[in-house]
Amino acid sequence: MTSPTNALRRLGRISLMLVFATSLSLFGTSCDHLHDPHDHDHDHEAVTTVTLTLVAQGTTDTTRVTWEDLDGIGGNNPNRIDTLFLRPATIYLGSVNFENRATSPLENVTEEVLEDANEHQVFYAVSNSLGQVTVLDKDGRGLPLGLTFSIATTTTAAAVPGSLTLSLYHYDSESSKNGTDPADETDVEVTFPLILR
Amino acid sequence: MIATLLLLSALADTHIHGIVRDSATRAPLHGAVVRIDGTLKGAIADRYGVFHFYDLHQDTVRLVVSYVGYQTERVLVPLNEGRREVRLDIAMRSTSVRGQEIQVTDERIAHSALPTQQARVLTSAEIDEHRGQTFADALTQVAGVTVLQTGPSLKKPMINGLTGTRLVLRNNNLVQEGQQWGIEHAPEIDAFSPSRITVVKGPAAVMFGPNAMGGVIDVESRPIRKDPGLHGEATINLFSNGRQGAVGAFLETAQVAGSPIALRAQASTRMGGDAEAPSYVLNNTGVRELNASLTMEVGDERLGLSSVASIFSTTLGIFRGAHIGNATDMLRAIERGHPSSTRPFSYEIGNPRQEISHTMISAKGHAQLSDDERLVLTLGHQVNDRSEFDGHNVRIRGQGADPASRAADSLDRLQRALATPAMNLVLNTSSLDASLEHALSEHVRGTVGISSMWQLNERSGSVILIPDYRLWGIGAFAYESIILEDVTISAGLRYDVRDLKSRIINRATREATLQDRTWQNFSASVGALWAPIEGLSLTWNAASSWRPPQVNELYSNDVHHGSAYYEIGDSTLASERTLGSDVGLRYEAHGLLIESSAFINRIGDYIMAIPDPANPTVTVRGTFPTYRFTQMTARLYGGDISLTVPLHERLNVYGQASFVRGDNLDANEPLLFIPADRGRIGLHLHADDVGPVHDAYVDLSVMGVRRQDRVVPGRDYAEPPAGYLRTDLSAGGVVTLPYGLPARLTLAVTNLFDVAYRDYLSQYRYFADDLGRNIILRFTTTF
Repeated sequence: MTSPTNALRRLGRISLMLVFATSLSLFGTSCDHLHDPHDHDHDHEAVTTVTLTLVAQGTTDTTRVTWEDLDGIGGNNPNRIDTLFLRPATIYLGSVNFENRATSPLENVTEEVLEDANEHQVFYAVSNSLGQVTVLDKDGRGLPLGLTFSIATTTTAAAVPGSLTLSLYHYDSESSKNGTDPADETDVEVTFPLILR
Repeated sequence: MIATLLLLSALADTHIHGIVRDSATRAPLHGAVVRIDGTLKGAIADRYGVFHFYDLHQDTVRLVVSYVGYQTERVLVPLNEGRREVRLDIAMRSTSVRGQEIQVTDERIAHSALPTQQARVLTSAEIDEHRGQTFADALTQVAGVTVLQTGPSLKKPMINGLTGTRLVLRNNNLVQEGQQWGIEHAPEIDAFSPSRITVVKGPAAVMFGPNAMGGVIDVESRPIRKDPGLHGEATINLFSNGRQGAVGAFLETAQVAGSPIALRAQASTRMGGDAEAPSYVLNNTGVRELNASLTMEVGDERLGLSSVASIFSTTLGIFRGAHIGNATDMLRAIERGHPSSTRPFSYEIGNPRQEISHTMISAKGHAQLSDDERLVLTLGHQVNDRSEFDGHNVRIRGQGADPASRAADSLDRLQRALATPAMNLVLNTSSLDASLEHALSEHVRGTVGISSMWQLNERSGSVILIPDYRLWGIGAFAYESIILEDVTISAGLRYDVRDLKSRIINRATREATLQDRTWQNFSASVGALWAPIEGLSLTWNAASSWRPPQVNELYSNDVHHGSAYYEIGDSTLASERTLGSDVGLRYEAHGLLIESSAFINRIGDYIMAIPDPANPTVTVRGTFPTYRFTQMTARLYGGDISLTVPLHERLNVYGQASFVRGDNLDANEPLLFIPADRGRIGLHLHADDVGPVHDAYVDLSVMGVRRQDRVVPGRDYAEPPAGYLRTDLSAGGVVTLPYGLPARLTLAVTNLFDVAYRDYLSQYRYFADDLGRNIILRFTTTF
């Protein structure tokens, strides 16, 4: 069994050790400055703003709606989602514009989609059978592109509101685009509330 | 003493091997300890009772063979006159008298657990036999350990339903500090380096700090051989699935240029291509790995220093089909049931991918202060550099006056974008641990110590899953064991302080603010071991420990690709507090081994991300379900059993089964990602000599996994996959190469029948089947 003096010596040794370790760890904590934020410079392009322009066929009656999330993914929810008001039994000719307004000067992503038309396609879906969308433009291989389209609204003004969802896909290569199937990854998917009146 | 010597033809190198058996039943004695008297050399008999010694330079060696419940045997082996290969058949007589005391110094007992705790040591033979493509593969032979995977080369171990930052992984005496919070963060450990792995099932916070609330995985590399000369080992692993090859080798010497410094240099590399499910290729699942380490040892048992410097570097492809844009893509992929397009096999690794390097240096010094006091100091530094590259948004537009310069610029920008990680995290960790192992009396042994760490995380890139932060922690602990004739009692206490200072970026305003949080609390544990009769031991443990909220749980704010949900942290989270208890039983006699354990763990303020259906995150890429980190009371309980039954002196049957239940008690619903019930049954046939192959064996096993039926309906994107049976076969033995080099050869086939299955704990089960048949050839030679 241990004698009292031995126990004392042991205690002294332990406390010495503790002091040593503590001082080392405190030395570590003294240089705990956090660096300035890193530059988030990257070439990845994001779309902040989607604008639809619709003209009722045979008129100059123009409707323009915007979906916008200026602070990008996360942060606040979109700062602007316009409701699309259309008349029943009407054919509208439409075009879509994709922009990145978070950068200065703003970037027009539509031009880029047009340049690489063979690797892009925009799909449209209208809920509650409020209308039918037909894609009007084609890419270099004759497959639908979807930057311009027409909507034929139903004949009766529906009491229930619906929505128009558009999705932009960027395909890995020309060969994976077949005109009917979406790509594995969605680039843009936004939904506008739609009311016929 | 009944020991027969069988002498074989003279070969160039000394090799003693043999089988330890029960004298009455002839059953092999798994776990018998064979030591060379007067040296530090030792070996443990494997499941078939087999042990090996190579390169002995004495004229005569005396082997001491011991096993709980048997009389210790001493065998004198003359090695002079060119006798190079000796085979022994050692029969042990069981003792009718009770052993003197529980052998706490036994090599099978883990150093990283209290003697009363549930711990399983994997010896190098067991690791070799199950070595797979990742470090975690070797661990799944322990009942209660499962893996959480995000692809064939990305596997995280899970102990009794807890994983990630609720487990501590120790590598070469340091707590490995990597990014462990994500499901797609595999431990950065070279699958070739461990020679001994201890899995501690249950809270070990008293020894290793708050994060060890679920358990510990302690990876140790073997000590450098002390006999003179240059030694080494070379290993080649070939895998048919993914057409993967891995090579590892080390060279070591106990005396560098006549000095008392022992040195080992080790390196390994791995290259694999796309893995294959039974009916399609899993594109972009290749792997590259390059690892190296240098180990230095000097001194002896009384005063010594060992130091390890290592680098692990890997490039991992993330399965293309599992990287999706939004929830709609996810549902479409699930509905399709298989990857949309599969390209032919390729070694190429494209985006999405991870590039990780982990560098660590550790120095551990020990000094025997007196007969009953030993001081151990461990100093370490680690740098974990992780880059994750997204597959998204590679639509790049060039700038320029004419089409040619625009095209050149766009190519240039594309290259830059592909080479820029969406997230880069550099984690620097320094640590210092000091402990004093002591014997207070003949029957009381213990350790007191202090451990401290300091950590800095630097983030860059567009993805904000965790912020820049600085963390320091300090803890002081003491644990003591009272070792009596047939009872051991352990108790421990620890106090920790953690301080986290983070720079949080507001995504809307892009402004950064600093937040400083401090947590401190106690951990305590108590346990008992009782060995009422020979070969039987019963254990009981109870522990309470805590875990501070982790940085991702506090500040996460981004989309998780591959799971298509938006995860939001809560900076006000409090610490978790767990209260748990476990009981265990171990019985071994005449080659029969039964191990069983059960646990229950109640975790107060358990932190988990749960869906917030009222507030989906609307983005330009679509709408994502929002998950918020919240706290709840959770309860986990479960049990496991493993047994080995000798049917014949050459044939064993073994089996294993485990179950875990996890519930959120507040909402009265099951927790997410709890492993499904599983079991394994196998037959092991062992023969002494088959032609030129000695110690040949054949092992056939079937693993069955039930469907996980304890889920909240509609919570997950897809229902849990069906249960499955997987059959594995392996055969191997030792052959002698030219120049007398012994070589261990193993041929294994996993998923023998090429069954298409999906595992609930796999993150890519939504998109594709698990791996198909894999034929593995392992070759190891020692010189």
